[in-house]
Amino acid sequence: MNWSLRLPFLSLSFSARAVAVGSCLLLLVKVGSVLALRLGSYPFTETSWLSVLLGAGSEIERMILMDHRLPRILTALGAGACFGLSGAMFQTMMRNPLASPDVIGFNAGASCGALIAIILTGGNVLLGALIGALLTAILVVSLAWKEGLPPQRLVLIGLGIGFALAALSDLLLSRTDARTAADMAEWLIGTLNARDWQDVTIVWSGVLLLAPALFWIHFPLARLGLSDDLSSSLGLRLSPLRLGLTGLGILLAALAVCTAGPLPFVAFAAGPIARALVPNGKPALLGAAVIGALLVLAADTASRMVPSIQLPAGVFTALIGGPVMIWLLMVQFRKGKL
Amino acid sequence: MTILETTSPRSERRASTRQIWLLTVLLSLLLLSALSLRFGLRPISWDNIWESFVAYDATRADHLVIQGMRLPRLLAAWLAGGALAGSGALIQSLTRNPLADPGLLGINGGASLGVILCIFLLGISDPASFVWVAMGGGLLSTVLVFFLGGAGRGTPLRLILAGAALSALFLALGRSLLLISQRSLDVYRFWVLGGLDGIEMPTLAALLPFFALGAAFAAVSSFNLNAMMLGEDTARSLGLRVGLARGLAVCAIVCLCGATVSMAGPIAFVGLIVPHMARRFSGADMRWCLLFSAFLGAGLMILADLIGRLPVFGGNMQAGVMAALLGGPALVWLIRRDGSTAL
Amino acid sequence: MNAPARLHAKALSVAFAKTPILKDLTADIPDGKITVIVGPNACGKSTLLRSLARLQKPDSGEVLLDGKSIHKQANRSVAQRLAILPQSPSAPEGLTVQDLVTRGRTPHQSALRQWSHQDAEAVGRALELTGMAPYANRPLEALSGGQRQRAWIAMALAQDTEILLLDEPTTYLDLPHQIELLSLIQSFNQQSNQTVAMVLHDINLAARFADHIIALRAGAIFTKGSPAEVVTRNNMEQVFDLRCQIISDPVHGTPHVIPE
Repeated sequence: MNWSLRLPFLSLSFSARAVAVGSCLLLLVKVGSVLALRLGSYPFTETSWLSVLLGAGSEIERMILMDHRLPRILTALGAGACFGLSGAMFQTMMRNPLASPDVIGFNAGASCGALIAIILTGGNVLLGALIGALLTAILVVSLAWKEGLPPQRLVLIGLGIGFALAALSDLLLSRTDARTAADMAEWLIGTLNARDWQDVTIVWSGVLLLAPALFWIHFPLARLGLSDDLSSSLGLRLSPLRLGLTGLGILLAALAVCTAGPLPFVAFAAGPIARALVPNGKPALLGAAVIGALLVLAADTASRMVPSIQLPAGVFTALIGGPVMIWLLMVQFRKGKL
Repeated sequence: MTILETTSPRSERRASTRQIWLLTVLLSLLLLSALSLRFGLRPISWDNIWESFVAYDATRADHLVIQGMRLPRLLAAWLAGGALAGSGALIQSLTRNPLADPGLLGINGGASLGVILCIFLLGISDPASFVWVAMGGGLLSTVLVFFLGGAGRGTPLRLILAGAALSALFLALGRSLLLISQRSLDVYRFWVLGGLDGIEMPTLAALLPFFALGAAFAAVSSFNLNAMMLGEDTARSLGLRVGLARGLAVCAIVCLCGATVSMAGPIAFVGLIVPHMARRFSGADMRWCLLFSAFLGAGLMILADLIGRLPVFGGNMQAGVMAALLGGPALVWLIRRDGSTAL
Repeated sequence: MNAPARLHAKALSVAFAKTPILKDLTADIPDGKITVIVGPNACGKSTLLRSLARLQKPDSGEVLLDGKSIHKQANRSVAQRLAILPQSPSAPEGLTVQDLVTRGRTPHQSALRQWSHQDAEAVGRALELTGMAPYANRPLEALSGGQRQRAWIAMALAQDTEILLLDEPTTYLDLPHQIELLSLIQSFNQQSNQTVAMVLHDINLAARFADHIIALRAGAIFTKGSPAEVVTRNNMEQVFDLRCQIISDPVHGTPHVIPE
């Protein structure tokens, strides 16, 4: 069933199921965020967190909530949404469920840049990751360009460069002293420890800046799922479209990696999970964004809940996302799909 | 992915030059093998190498190095590279996805988790006993992936999603155990970076049956997969039992990769990339693709190991890492020169 | 044939891997008529159709749409005038018929105008005409081969173009469905004067439904004209290497090939 929205300047059609599932997911995000705010080594009661947020409470309580938990949660949500969006975009564009940015190596560039930044400056991971991701993207796209961006070529060249960069990271890791190496290793698993408002600003201003482009690109992306011949005969210009999609996808992945580290599994899993919830053959960008945000939020909260050992969030993304995906797959199998 | 069976002049020309290419690859493989015996931390003269084979003298250091270290290492590189690349070609054809690698069946994840559990629960720290634990873990998780993926009846998408989800889950489980237990980490780090260091003849001999069995399964599977490339229905009408054929290909991959991962730890790059290089020489025929993949994979591993042993890298650069460092740019170069071929 | 046709191929040459497929081919697709391209396998029928639809870039020569080279016009504006349904198209899993047909509206839509009244009307009309309205909410993979083919035709119709190109629209269909589909196409052509060009394998169906037949052999036009002019004993032997008798179809009066 579809609903239509018609305004003088805007007309859209929604599937009722997508709207229903979307609202449920958004509700989950809200409930989850509140829970994440309250839980931790210093728990808040059902009512006290709100009053502290509004200005009451002690200095320490405000600090925990405003300077530690809130920025961390907001960063997790933003980075998760970026991972989900980027993964779903690449998977739809390449028509391949394995083509998420972590698999085809765009994250390797960001990681490598971050490691070089750690070695050279001792900090400033954020800038290093961003520069690394963008340089890799430029390199991959310019090497793969041939009268457009044939998806197969882009993927394989991305793989080649990505693996070489990952190997370079390993090389760097084995050539530095133990303390730097430990820093690097933690960053490489992905963690949201000690995020501040600067990270929140970066990731969310990035999302807001890219949002119009995302809205615009969703329309042709939904048509790209048909074959190249068909989408071209429907009037889409494939080369600029693919270039735009690749650029946007890489920017999103870079934003996520530089604020949360290369969290595994999120970009790969968000799209398929969203599509399993609303199986209508559309790219489900918004769904993937919300699922990604939920996954990272859950992983980060879980990592905070195990107080003494301090497991990084990167361990939990697959521990939480894996079973969810397996469960959805089994439900789909039972219905005779797939 | 689309399957292209073209009869353009180009692929005809390919058929006639394929044998020559195979010969070239084989010859360079032999040359590399010889070089890999000769060079290392210290070069050993050809005479000495020859003598160590025909007149082994256990009191001479050179002979000990050749027979006790370099030869097993060379054989391990042959087996690991060939097995990984060959099973990469199989899984890409099986899932009809150029991005699939043998780790997708959960072998690496299962093997790692097996080793970690073994250290964590049983307190074993002797690397030799990890071989069977890794093998068992890889096997178990592959069985799980295979059945969750539809036991040969589901779509390739189902197998891919099931495999990726389970692999990620196993790796994450293993990783969290490592972060909890410092002792496990210390032992595991050794295993996971094992590469081709410290492999001895008895280990190789024990694993050889698995490699042989895997190679036999792979050879049979390459015929089946050739038929399955034409689509499942066509394959069925040609008298092929598709579910069984898939199961057989999975068995081949498990034997080959299980043995490799238990010998040398997880190596990511070779299985994913080398088949793409091989397809440049072999065309769409799976039998040739398998052959070229195996030989190119072995060559890449030997070369990577040889370069990794150079003094520039401190003499102990991991072969897997070096393979990626060398192979990544090589793949880019090949694709830019020849264009990408459809799977 | 006085004024040049809207869709015109001028001295087209196409080669794959140095094997020439089309050689210096010039052809008109007459306006408002049904043109059928016939010829033996591998004679370049599909390549000609794909070139006419700008999906195949020619090595030399050009395709003119409304007097201008089709490759130099904006892709979207071409898509508003010309639709093509390629051979064995593919759709993502789970896509419903309604959504598929809606995608045919792409050249008339934009990110801000994704579902206007005109879109809803055109989609509804295409579903009605092809008899797919009862199946609108079914996913494509749950349909039979014939229904699926009609869904794809509905998508091409929803594009609402003056020119419609179809590459072997009757593959996978049994004879009654073939006739039904071709009659359907004939009725669009007669009602809205839509120009149709399609590749067909079956020469008898071509003779029955075409106004104009182009017979290709080895990448060049062997002959063209009305079915009565093209479907002759002599031509069949030279185009298809087929020895046959030609009789007049007792029902429709079109030529009918009886292979010897």
